[in-house]
Amino acid sequence: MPYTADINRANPACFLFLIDQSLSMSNPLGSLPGKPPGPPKMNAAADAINHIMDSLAQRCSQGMEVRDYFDIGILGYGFRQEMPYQEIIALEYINYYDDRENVVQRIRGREYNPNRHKPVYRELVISTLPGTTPERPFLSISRVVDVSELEERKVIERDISENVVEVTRRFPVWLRPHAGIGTPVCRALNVASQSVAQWIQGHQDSFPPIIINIGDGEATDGDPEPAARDIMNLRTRDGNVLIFNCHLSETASYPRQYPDQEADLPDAYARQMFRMSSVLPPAFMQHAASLEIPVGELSRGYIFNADMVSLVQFLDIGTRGPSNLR
Amino acid sequence: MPYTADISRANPACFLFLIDQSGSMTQALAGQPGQRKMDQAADAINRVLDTISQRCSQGMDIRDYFHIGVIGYNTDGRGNPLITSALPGTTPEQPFMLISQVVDVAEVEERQVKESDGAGGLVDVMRRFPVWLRPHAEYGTPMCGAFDVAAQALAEWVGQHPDSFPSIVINVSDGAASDGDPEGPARRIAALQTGDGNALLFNVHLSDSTAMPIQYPDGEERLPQDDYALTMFRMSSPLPESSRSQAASLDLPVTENSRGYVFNADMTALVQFLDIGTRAASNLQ
Repeated sequence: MPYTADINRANPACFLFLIDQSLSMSNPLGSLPGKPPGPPKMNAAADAINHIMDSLAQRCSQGMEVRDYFDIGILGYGFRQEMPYQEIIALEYINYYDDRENVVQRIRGREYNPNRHKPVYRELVISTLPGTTPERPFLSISRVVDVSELEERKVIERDISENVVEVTRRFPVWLRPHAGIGTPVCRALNVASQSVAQWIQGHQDSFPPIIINIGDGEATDGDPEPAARDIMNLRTRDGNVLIFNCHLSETASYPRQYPDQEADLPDAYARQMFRMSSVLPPAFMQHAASLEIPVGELSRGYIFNADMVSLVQFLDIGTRGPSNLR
Repeated sequence: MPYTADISRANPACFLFLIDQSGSMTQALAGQPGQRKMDQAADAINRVLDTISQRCSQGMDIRDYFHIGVIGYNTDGRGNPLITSALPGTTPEQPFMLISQVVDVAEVEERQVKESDGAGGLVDVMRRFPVWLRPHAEYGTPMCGAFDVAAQALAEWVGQHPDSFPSIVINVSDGAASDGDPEGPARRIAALQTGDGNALLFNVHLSDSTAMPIQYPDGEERLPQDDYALTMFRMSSPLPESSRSQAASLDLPVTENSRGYVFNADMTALVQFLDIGTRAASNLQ
């Protein structure tokens, strides 16, 4: 049966988080009707990611030791970098001339013409864990713990007598909120596909990699469905790579969680994200059911219009599959 | 201009909620798998009553800007109508209570809910929920009977409050009337008037299908080919300006001809509908 591999240090599991960093991520997260709007979506996403990273580390802790059961990567997408005009001109010339020296000669002495050379942007994907690259985004969980930065945060807790109190605690941080421009989902999925394919080569017997994408809108760089299908076709001996998608809401709305048919969804974008999401294997489904979230055998790892509570639960559920830690 | 009366303790406004308690309300509400319509409707009504009472709060004082009635309707197994008034001590003929009394008679339930802990995690907190309406669902849908009872109660109220903002009736149901054509009784409600205009009747249709809700349509052509939807649309009053601006602030498309009607409502649309409907009366003095 797939998705049942034991997780050990020789055969770790792998999580790759993809975070939309487009401009709209600076808008407030929706909450339930009648409640005030949530924090900016970029903060909600960063908080939820940092929280799940910390809890993944705790799942690997044995006393003082952190066992390397998991490899983890975080990719942010939505940066755009303006290309210097020389580079734009060069691109134009490279179309016509092979001789590099010739190109350089021709660029020299040319003035920048803003009408002719409209700004060109390059959509970027970055890997946020220190020392990693988008092509090699993974760190083993013990390294992840080592590279965290600590930050003081106010948090609401229940004390020993069950009173709700606000306390200040130090939290490990790996991802900082950021909102750039553009939503290059295709590019992000292509980068993810390459890095996951490479990871699989060294981990044929591992639990299949899990890609969790958190975003708030449609791709600005094309149709992401083929790239998602390519990823879902990658596999280890324990099954195909899983993609789960979380759509953050701006509306005061109840989330549609883990739908099991495309027709139930309200718009074309939601239906596309549904098709790009894997069916929840039983281990994930059981965890969702234990949180009293209604799921069926065909439920996909997809939430439409997520609020903060459903986002946090989504990350918890999405990382619960690889649970046979040895 | 109608629907602009100031609302004061001398000239209060009135809300009458009519709740379908027929057997089909045990089905799941669209967008909330596993959650029954009867539970969601009761939750939404309890929540809006709480919200209304907060609009009337000035410090510790609750000002009696509103009279509130809650009427449930269904039948027994033989089809005899059962029309009940949910607020304690009231009757279907005399369903109204002052909002300060409404607050006094609430039963307070403590429920454990998950909320954000402010730092990416969740915390279980106990929240107090005032409850007035308990979920209930059995047998038929005597909507005509409920409208008749409402019309009588409202006629009396309007007689006592000739200068008030017109009465607002909000009907929450999930299907066609089982006791005839409700258009006549609905017209009797809409014909009642104060010096500030005719009574307003708003209707919301709860759906178990996941088709997109049709919210505040401004013409019959926006409705599906469905006799029931058409009847309910014709029975629903145009939204006054204050409700339209509340709808617009929630990014809902509304025009001057939009009616207070939602077809195929899910939980979000229901909660918004109750908010928009009760915002009609908003000039609290």
